[in-house]
Amino acid sequence: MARYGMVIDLNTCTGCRACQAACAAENRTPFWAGKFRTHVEDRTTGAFPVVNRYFLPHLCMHCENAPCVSVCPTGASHRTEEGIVVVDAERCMGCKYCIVACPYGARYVYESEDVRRAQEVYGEGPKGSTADKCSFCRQRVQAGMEPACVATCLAGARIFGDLDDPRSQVAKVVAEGQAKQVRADLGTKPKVYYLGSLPDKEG
Amino acid sequence: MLAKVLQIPNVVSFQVQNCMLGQHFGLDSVVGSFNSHDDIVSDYANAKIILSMRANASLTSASGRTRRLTDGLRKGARLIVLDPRRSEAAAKADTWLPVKPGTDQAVLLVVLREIIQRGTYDADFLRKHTNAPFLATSAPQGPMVQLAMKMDEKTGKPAEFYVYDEARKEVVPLPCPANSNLKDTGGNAVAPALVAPDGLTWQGKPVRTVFQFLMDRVKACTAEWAAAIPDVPADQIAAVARDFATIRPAMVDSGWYDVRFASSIQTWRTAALIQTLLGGIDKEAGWIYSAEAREINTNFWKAMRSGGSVSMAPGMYGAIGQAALFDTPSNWTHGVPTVSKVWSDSQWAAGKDGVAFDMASYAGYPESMMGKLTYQGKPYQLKFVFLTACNPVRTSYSDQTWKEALSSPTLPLVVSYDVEPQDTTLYADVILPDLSYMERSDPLYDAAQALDRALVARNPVTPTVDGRHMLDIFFELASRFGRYDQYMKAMSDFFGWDLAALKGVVDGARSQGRSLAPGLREMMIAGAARRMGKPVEALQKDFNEQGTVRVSTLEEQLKEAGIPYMFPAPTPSGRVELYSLFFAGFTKEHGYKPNWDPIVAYMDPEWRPGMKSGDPLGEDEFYFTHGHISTMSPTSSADNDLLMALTREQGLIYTGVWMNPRRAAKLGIASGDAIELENSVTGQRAEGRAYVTELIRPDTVFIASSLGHENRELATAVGVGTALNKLVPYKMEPVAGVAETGQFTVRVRKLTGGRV
Repeated sequence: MARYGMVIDLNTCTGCRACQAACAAENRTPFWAGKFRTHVEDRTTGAFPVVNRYFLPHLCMHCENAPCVSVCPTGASHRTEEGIVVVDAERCMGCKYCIVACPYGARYVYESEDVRRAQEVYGEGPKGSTADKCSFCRQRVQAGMEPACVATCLAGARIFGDLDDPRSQVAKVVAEGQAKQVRADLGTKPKVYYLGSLPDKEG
Repeated sequence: MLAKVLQIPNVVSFQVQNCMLGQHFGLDSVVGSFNSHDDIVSDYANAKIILSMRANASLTSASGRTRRLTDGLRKGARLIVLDPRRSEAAAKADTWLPVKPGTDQAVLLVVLREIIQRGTYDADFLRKHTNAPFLATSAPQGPMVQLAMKMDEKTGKPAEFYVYDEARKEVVPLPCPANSNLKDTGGNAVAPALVAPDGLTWQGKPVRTVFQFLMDRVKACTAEWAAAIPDVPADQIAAVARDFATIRPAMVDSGWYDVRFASSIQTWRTAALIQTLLGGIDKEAGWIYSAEAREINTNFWKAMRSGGSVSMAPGMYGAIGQAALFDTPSNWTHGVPTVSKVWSDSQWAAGKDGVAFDMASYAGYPESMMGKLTYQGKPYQLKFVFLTACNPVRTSYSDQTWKEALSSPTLPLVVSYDVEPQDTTLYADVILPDLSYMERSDPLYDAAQALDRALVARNPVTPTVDGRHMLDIFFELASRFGRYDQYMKAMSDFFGWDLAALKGVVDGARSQGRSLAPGLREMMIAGAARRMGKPVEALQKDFNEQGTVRVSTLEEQLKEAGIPYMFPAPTPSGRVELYSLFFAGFTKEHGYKPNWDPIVAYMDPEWRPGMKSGDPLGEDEFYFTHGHISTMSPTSSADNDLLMALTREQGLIYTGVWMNPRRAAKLGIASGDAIELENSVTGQRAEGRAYVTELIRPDTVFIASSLGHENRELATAVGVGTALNKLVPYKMEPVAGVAETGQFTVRVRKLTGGRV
């Protein structure tokens, strides 16, 4: 069974937000409320003229040791056999424990207004308040495609694949040792890795 | 074509103004291109060092360009970005030079000089395929340089140029047009000199090469000279120039839509001169002619060589032909040329600046709509304006000017045909719904931004509105004007379509009340299948499954039709022109101006009349710049809920007026405060919200250029951001007649009382 993961190259992400648009369209998420499964943080450090700007794509880290799964009282948040962390909307009661537990801020909740708008915009959606997050586009992956954000990324800054397949590009990049996990010290064992350090090439 | 058939000499493309004329024209004067995006494709992926300016969004949110650039970065390319703010592209740069708005040319001239001083130019390319070795002479007075040439008395076009042959040690004539300087008019081998011997004369006049004149022009352009102009340290400019002159392959980004100054065309000409000196024309890691432009160029020169003719002329050849069509009274049964020509001539006659290349310029249209333009003593009054895929009230110069013109009682009919209610739609008498590109069954077209030659035929989704395809509307208009058959014939002639087949498709669809577009698409796919030697069904299947089909690879194209290696460039001389014959023609017609100097002229950006680079700004005064954001196109994305949600998510970074905290604090302004910007030259005003950030020069403010919509039907877009053209005056630069969208300073003040 595959163990899916992603590498994001911070050196080439241009902050265009095509990933967000593709994700929202593919997964029919409540963009109107500013809620996205992935988003790109635009961060500034320093003062003119020694000032730098970074684009930091965020999404669920699909932790192997996922706090959101541990705290979920209903089992709605769970890991699939491919190691993808997903939310079963039917079992989610909207308690938001997972949102508090996630150290990466990767989740949001459909409020009642979002539930109403989802029906209006998409003609479908959750029946009640429920947590939501990135699923690595499991529906696409099972159909042999890449997640929407990866397929769309103009810069080719996202690589997706099976971390256990030594032939996959994502496994090769991780094996090179340059790609880093965020807050690995928490013991969450994230499966999303980042290439490139925060300070840019000029420091 | 419809305009020609209906005898309407007035066609304006607003995007042509913003992109092709405002930005590309400087490049065109060197390499001869003249087309839609991208006639010239920058091959970032294979360059080792890339210098970019005024093209932020194209590098960071236009799909093909962004992928090629990031491919280059992954391979270790060094990126240098000139920008007053740390834009998205500047954020990816190894070196960011935060230049004052409009001063990029000074840095480019230092780079140009460095390449010449170090001798790291491609001398072989310059000798063979450019007019660098052509002999020229100084004008008796002023800075104008005149090319030594013989004119064809019949055509009035150049027939011979002259070079110094290093083998024969004499001046020899070269043919025109041609792509190579290695044979004279008699077919003898030539070794053209880049530097003429001292004391050389031609027809009794002292002559030197174009290359020598160029060397003279940039001799004084040291980093120390330049530093005060963009206001960045001389050592940083010198380092950029050194790296660019020594790392290979190097490439200047060919750019796109930019903030415009009177100096923009000379600035982009300077960029093209650098690229030419590098020899980086139509080859890997350089500027590559697009597949579509190349095909037109190849067919044209093949026809010229065989004495045949073609309907489409390439690049500047085509543009000159179009200009002649619209400008010449005798080409029209009514004997009246285009509005911009009439307006321009009236300006020249009054001793003011007109427009040298007025084809498709939007100059003069407001006057004509408002009954203020005359031709030969009679009113030149526009009575009917048909607007499609454009939004002048929001994306052109001064919105007030357009609002007045479009609501003038002298203009009886305005039709707006668009995919969404634009700000301009508010001024329409009749509104026709267009289909979005996803809903249209478009004919086959070229993937213009690809390096490989590819055709696109996207499968449409079911339309959400009862719209009509543009071709259906055009044929209907032709029919109502009684020119149906003539329009059919013109389309057939221009596109090379079989007349009977076209007529069958169009008549058949119209008689059944269907759109003609699907049938036309089928006809074009059948034609493409014949040319490609493929069964129609197989090609149709490819289009159905992939939407696009590759016709040939870049490698194949370069081998068979490299420009100017295999075929001439689409310039008047056929060479890549370090001396622009086109610009020299403007001098002949209107006298010398640095704006159309045929070699290169440095132009100080005159932000306010008489203002020089070192002049101080007022306490509340700023330089001004603008640019695209990744989530908004200039015309048709304003009310896309998802894109607007992304825009709002970025908040003031996208929607605010960027200001540096040092200046903002002095004016008592904090992020989110309502502020007013006032054009210090014209008094035009716009409102917005401050975004206080260290990412911008303290003396400059920035706004996104595609926001500030006013039509309340644009439910999610109305009131977001600041409208650029509330600040841009109706003032044209004189080369191509493009509004100067950055050539002013603004005064900034905090608003109180809940405005904005």
